[in-house]
Amino acid sequence: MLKIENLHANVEDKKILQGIDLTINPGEIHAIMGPNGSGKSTLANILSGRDGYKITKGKISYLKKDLMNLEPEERACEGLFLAFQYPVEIPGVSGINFLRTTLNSIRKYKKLKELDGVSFLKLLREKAKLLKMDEKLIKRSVNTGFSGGEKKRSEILQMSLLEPKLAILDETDSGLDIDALKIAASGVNNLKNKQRSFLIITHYQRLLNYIVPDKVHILSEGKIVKSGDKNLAIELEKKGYEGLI
Amino acid sequence: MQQKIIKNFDIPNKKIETWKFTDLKKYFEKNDFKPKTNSFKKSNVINSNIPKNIFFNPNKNFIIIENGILKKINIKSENLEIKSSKNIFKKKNIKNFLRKDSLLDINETFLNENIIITIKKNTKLNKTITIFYYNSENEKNIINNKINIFLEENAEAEISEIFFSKEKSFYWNNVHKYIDLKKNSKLNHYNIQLESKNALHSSINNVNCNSASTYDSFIFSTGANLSRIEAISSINAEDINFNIKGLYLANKNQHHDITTLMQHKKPNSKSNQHIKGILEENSSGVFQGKVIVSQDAQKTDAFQFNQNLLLSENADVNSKPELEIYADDVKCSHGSTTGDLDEEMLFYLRSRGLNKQQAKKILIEGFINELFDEIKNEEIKENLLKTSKEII
Repeated sequence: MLKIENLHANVEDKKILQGIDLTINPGEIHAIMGPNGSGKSTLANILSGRDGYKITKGKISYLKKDLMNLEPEERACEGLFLAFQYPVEIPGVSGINFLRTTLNSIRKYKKLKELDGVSFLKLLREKAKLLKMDEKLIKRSVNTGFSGGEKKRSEILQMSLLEPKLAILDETDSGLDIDALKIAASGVNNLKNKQRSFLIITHYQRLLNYIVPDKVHILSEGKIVKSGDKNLAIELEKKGYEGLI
Repeated sequence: MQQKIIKNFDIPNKKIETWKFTDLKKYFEKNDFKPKTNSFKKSNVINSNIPKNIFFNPNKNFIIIENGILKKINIKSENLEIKSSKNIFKKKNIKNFLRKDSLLDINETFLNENIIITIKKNTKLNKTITIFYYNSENEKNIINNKINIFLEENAEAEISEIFFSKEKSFYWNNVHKYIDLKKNSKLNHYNIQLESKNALHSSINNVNCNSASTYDSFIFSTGANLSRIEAISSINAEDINFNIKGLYLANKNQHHDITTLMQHKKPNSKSNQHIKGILEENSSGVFQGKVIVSQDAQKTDAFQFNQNLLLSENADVNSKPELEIYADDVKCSHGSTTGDLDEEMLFYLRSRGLNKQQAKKILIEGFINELFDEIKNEEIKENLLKTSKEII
């Protein structure tokens, strides 16, 4: 699914990623943990195609394509999804119209029939209900005036609708209370199948109580310094980063 | 003869402080406009041939002014009086307004029609009033009309003005509106400027607000080669609620100017101005807003905000919000932003599978929607949205 080899990347002249190797196979859930400034979000941003990063070495292949040759929208259409750490508010743009336009844009790319208003609304309602999301919220402008938790939940809703092949969750758990955390985790668990992969970026082990990862990696100073199974996260919770790195 | 006279007027130009960003004189001289010479003919009976317009509804109150001449008055509501009159009230009723320029003198000197609309005491008008200004001539006439709107005590009304034309017709539409709101009256005012792309549009809205009156206005400016819309208002009493929302939408080499002046003279009133601009290609925009709060006007609440979206490197905007406050217990704020579409928003939309063009379109529509959401009349909102989408 995703193969990152010896990835080095800079922001302006600052070295952030310094040789990342990571392979995610179809159906796997990987978690990346690490202290602030270790390069977790940089990795997520580079994968999604955000500007402002310079790759100095290494390569990323996604579904056997060179990811760096794809525009952000092409990555999305190819099934890559990033749940943002800080989802942006877009005043004046109706949430429903936005969701329908994105879903249809991706369906069109996949040469599937676009959904009409009625079938789209039906689908949206089902997904929103699963995530216990208030319909009023979706009717408002995209993320506008949402609380931190509502924004994160809205990201999970988008993920459920777009049904990506690889979903990257960038600190989706930060700012969530325990109930919201469980709902977000259920969003992931509902989508989980043998073809779909997840990359979960988090500070804390907490989320991994509800989403069980196949592999856990610890990122420090732009490198993966340790990899293991779900027990690594538990160990980390006990010993802290200092005890492990 | 007339030509000589018009040249004696001091046409607004860059030397005048309030016209620093809009040189009307330059445009005037280049095009050699002449005042249209007709006035006060008994023309109400002549049928008008104006083309269909999305804002037109024969079952509502309307007035048609075609090429400067009053063609039809259609009254469908009770307690509403609309008439053409020679009584132009001289300059008596503009004494309350601080700013006057030669456009008013030109308007008065060469006046084509003077129309008086009165909504009687204690009347909530059941049907909207629409004024259609239609132009189809190419003679480079200056058309001068004056509309007087009187809302008596406790009267409520909605008035829309639609300026439109035959494509490519060439004229200068110079309109003066005098609006007088008596105690507890309430006016919803739509100013929709869709003039010919060759035309020059100048309009001055003088709004005189008395105790506990409410004025809600929406300005939509997208026509004309050069357009200047002024709202010069006077808050004469307490508990007045005054709102101006507006959008200028310009492309090619259009120049659009919205200039406001709010004079808060008495305490406890509120004013709110929110003007947005979208400028494409080589167009330019101007927002000049001034709020003056007199010493007497304690507990005034005045807000002023201008936001511009520049969609081309060659487009530009001059934004000048100003506050002049002489009272010490007031809440006033102003602000202005100008820029390209937000990069973060664009990336967010693209990361969801929308290409650059789609993402831009959605953001521009969002920028407009945010303002249009405040339009109370759903039909007008839809029509304006449709009109905007055709332009973008």
